[in-house]
Amino acid sequence: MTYAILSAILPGLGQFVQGKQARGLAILLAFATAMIFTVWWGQLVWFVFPAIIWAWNIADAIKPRKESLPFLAWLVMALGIGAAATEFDLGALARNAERGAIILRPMLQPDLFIPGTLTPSFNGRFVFEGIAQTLGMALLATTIGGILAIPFAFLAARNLMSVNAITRAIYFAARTFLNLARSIESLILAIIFVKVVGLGTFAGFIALTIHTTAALGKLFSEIIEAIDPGPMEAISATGATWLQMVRYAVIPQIVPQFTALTIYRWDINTRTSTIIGLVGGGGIGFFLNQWIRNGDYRAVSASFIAIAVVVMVMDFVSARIRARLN
Amino acid sequence: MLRVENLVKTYPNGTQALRGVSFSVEPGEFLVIIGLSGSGKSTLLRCINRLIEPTSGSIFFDGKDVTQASGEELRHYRRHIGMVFQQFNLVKRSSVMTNVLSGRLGYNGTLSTTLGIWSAEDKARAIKALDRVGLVNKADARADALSGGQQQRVAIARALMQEPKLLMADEPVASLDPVLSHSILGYLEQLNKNDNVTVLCSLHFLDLVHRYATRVIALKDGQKVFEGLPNEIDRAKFKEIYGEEAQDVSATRV
Repeated sequence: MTYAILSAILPGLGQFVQGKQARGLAILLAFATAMIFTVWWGQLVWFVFPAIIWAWNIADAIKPRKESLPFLAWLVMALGIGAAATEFDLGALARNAERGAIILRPMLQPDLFIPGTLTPSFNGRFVFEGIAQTLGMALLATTIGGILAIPFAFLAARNLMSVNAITRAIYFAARTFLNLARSIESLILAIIFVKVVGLGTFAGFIALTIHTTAALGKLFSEIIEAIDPGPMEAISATGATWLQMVRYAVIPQIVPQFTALTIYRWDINTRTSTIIGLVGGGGIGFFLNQWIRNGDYRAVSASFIAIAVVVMVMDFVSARIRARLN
Repeated sequence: MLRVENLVKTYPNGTQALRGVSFSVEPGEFLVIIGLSGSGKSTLLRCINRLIEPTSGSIFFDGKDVTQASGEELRHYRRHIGMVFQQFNLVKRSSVMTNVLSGRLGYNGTLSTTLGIWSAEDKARAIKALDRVGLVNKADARADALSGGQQQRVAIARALMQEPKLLMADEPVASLDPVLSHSILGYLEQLNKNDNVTVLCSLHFLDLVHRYATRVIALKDGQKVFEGLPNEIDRAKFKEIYGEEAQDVSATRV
């Protein structure tokens, strides 16, 4: 009974005192989030969910119960609030069908070539120029980012950097840097570099390169950590230096996977570089943004087609190359 | 040539792999270490060439204490000791030739070898080493294209490149089909008898010990429990080393 009273005062406390700390904390967390959401959303009906969790928690303090009821209540509440917060309204699509038609109808006649010829139209030339910029930016950023990722990967590989306290400190610094840099999306980096170097492909290139370096650096370091330690041991035993050991025992084991990951990244970078222009980073996205603003929907659909072709071709090529490497 | 004194190894997790092991190896011996899995055989061998740092104790090689050696001194010491492993430890994606040449890394500069440049002399030496283990026609094959027995022979050729004074073998036949045991150990015996390379080898099977060893030491729970001639290991000694439940099995039942 004491446990029930404790849990009534503070959800999870009774369970906590019974020695079930994890359960107690989970109950408290579920109850607290349910309360916070309800108060923040400000509609009284939502109080039913924290109430259910609270009641269940008292019953559970007396005799352990199955967790499905409070879990379900919490999930229903989270989905409900999520739907309300996104202003979920399918009717909006139907009510605005006419506006949709105004946009979609011109899109059925993409403006890529002068009709009846294979000569690019005025807008079509910009589509091709944008695609060329996009492809160039992605290839250059992947190559340079991939090269820059290699030294970081070695410094961030635990198995190579556990020689002594200094190397371990370098390992932590490198790993932290990679994690931080990786957590900032290329698009956000692009917004910043547009401010620094101005509108254009170069800003997008810098953003993509930084993100590629961090993302590949992390993945590469995981490859290095997973290699077979046997050959490293054997090469060290011959009296080789650390560099010789890396060259003869580590590098042969990692080159195929590094290549496969880099090609996969090239694929991702090509996708990203099609939209990086939306924030001013150059490429097809830059022109696309202009055409959307100007309501030039025939050029918009022309760029859609071009982007789709590029992405599909990259997808196919990268999958084929990676399959051959394995 | 090698003297181990009171060697102790305690792993960071508290496991006491070696609890004060002492023994010496005389030039020209084929000294075999026996004992159950986990008795400390692998740790002992790896402490000798310092792939694992011993916690305390001393190792004397040709009269010099090598427990404190580091940098170039350690590498030059390791150069004298060839090592063959249970899992062969070849670089699977590299060619047989590259694997054998890598045994010579300790004798060459970092820069040239990192660029993959090898002298004609070293290449000739590698061909000779491969010839000795009967694999000269496999020089250009990828290491993982070879069978287990062939890979272990490549590993022996790699150790040969070091022109070792001492050859250590950590369960060299345990991953192989038992019928190949004599092939591999035969190469070690040949090196021992013809080239006067001292051999220090851990083994599992008692009949192999009787066939190849000139002297035996036994480890149990990180301590030396026997030292003597192979024929001194009778049934009673065997039970003492391996425990009451142990049954002698034969490596080759032909």
